[in-house]
Amino acid sequence: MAIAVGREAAAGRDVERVILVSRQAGRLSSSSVPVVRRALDLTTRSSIEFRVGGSVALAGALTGGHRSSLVIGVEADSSDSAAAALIEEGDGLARSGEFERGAPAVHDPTGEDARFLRERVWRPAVPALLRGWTGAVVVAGLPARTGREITKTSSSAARIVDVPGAPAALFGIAAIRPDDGPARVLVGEEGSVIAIDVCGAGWTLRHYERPVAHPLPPAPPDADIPISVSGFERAFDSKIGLAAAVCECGAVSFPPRRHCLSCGAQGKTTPRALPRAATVYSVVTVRVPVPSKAIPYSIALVQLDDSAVRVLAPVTDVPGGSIAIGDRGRLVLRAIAVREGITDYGYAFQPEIRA
Amino acid sequence: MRSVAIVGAGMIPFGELYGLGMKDMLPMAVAEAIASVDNGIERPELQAAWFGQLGTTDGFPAGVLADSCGLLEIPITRVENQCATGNDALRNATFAVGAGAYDIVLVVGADKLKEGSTGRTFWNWMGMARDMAWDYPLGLIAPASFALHVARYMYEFGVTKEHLARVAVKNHSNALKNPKAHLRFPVTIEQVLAAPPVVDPFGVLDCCPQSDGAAALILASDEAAGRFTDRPVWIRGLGLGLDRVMHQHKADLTTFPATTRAAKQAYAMAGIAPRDVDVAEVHDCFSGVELMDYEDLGFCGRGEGGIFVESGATSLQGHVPVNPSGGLKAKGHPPGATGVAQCVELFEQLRGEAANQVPGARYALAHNVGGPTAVSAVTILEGPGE
Repeated sequence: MAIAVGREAAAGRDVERVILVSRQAGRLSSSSVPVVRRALDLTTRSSIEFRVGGSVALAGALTGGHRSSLVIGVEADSSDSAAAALIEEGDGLARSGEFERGAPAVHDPTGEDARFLRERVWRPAVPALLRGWTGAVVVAGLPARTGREITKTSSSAARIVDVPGAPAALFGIAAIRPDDGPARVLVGEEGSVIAIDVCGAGWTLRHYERPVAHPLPPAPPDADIPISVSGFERAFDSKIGLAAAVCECGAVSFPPRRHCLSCGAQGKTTPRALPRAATVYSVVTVRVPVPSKAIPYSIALVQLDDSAVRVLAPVTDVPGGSIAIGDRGRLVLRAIAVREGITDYGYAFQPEIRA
Repeated sequence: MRSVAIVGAGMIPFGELYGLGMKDMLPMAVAEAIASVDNGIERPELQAAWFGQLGTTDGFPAGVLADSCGLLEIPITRVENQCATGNDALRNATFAVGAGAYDIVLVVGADKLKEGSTGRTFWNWMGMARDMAWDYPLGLIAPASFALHVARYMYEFGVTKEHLARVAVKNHSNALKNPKAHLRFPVTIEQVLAAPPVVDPFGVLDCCPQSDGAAALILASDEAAGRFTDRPVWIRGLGLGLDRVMHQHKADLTTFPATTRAAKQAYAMAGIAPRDVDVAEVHDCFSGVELMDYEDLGFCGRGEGGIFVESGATSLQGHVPVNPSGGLKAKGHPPGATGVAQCVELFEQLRGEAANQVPGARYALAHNVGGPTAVSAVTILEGPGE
């Protein structure tokens, strides 16, 4: 998910620095660095950094003064969402205020802790950070109802962006309309709320957003799914880059074959990125308990557009059992499994949302 | 190649055999096969053995067979070819006798799926059939691997879940009379359709059970066979077909090319056509797979599997009864034993001794397809005649 939005935001340009922010960044490890690099088609000159935190940490990355940075926010808990922005010269972003209290971390947006955050953090923070401000206002990172209630008394009508976690800051900025003029975005996470002022000139936000409306089943505890580290390494480039092997004779193989089935040549291949749009050729849904898998889960064999290649991929971002043969979608990078402590990434099929 | 006959056949009842280890099951099956030989056979007369086992329960398979059955003086080769293991063990043994290397040999098949938990078994067995880097972590468990085919097959040919259910109803009904079957209870179409889902489109009653079991055959050359019986069953055709191992590389999921390849070889070797088959034991690990088998084996045309089962053609009274033993679906499916046990059933069918006897059967066919739907074995047997 982070990779999908990152690719879109980077739009193929050379990026000096990638900052990936997530409340679950602790789940990432040093082995994730080459995955991000390969999946974003970056060179080894780019630095890649993971930061643990929510929307406030992401806002900090945005306004931290780095140029040519790709900032990605992603959450993959009960509220999957991701957003990314490419920061360039003259972006017109400035941190204009902050409000901080030592409130504890909570991840239950409906529980008692949410009430505590609303009363002790958001309610005092909003008037404090909007004092004297007459421009447009966006408040991001809190439930819509709470947001409406605490902004009732503010001077400007506030737009509420109801997305939790790190991507909230970017969704908040994305909610600014071209005719808004100067706008102030308040983003909050746990005990902190900060204000970012956005003046339209020069600010080019390339964003991609895809908050998922429904909760996905919780991931079960990781069972010990075996892995071959050498097998992982051999498959790495083609698996993370979704790259086929193209023989000198033109034959395409995926997963890549050393021996060309068309002309018989050995090892005369070059990698080529495959198209990501695809149509379901066949799909099954597993409903019986399988250790380390959240059920039900669907696995699809998808036919790539304008290609003879089919890919076997888990279906992602929709409940198991909700797609059929002929459905359209695209392949997106996902963590597929944790195997002996190693996160195994690969491509999953993300269906188009049907009306 | 000289002709080779089956002169003895036996199996233990399939099931959840918690009380029996591999070292108990093997001698029981071998003793049954020895006891079935009309004129008797002494264990030292066996000159070599082929042992089909997919797993390695309690370790080194060939050694466990030699040790548990007192066969230390003869060569034993373990055969592993996924779900085609049993029929491939028979195939290799037949060629050794046909070539003249041996006159009398033993074929054994066994596996023990209930030795571990069901969930653990999914991952363990996927490890034998999936690409470790690409496909293993996806959780394409065995029923899902076959369901990818059956889902597309149903989509292209308008085959319904009711058609699938008819296979389960037929095979459960056949197993009622088979004392060796794992699941001996009748089911209705309504029960099959209402059963808890496993992997769409399969409910639990569309799936074969995970079974423990062992089966054994005794083969003899044409010269030697007459010493043991006046009613040998002749091995006429053998085929082994393979296919692409990853579903990504299978061009058409509505057919199993491994089966068509194996069948083509076996029919050619036997010199018969599909219409000559009087009774068949085919691979029905999941209900819809039997419908695809009908087509791949040439019993009916492409896309006609659903109509074919509905017509009753494959029931005991039909013109090609399929799975009179109950099939994998109801008799059970310990993979190494499955193909051997199919031939135990067909040995009895062709000698007029089966529980669900098909009258006057002359040619019988055994078939497996398995692994990542990438290997198939077909065996064609002929009865002793008048």
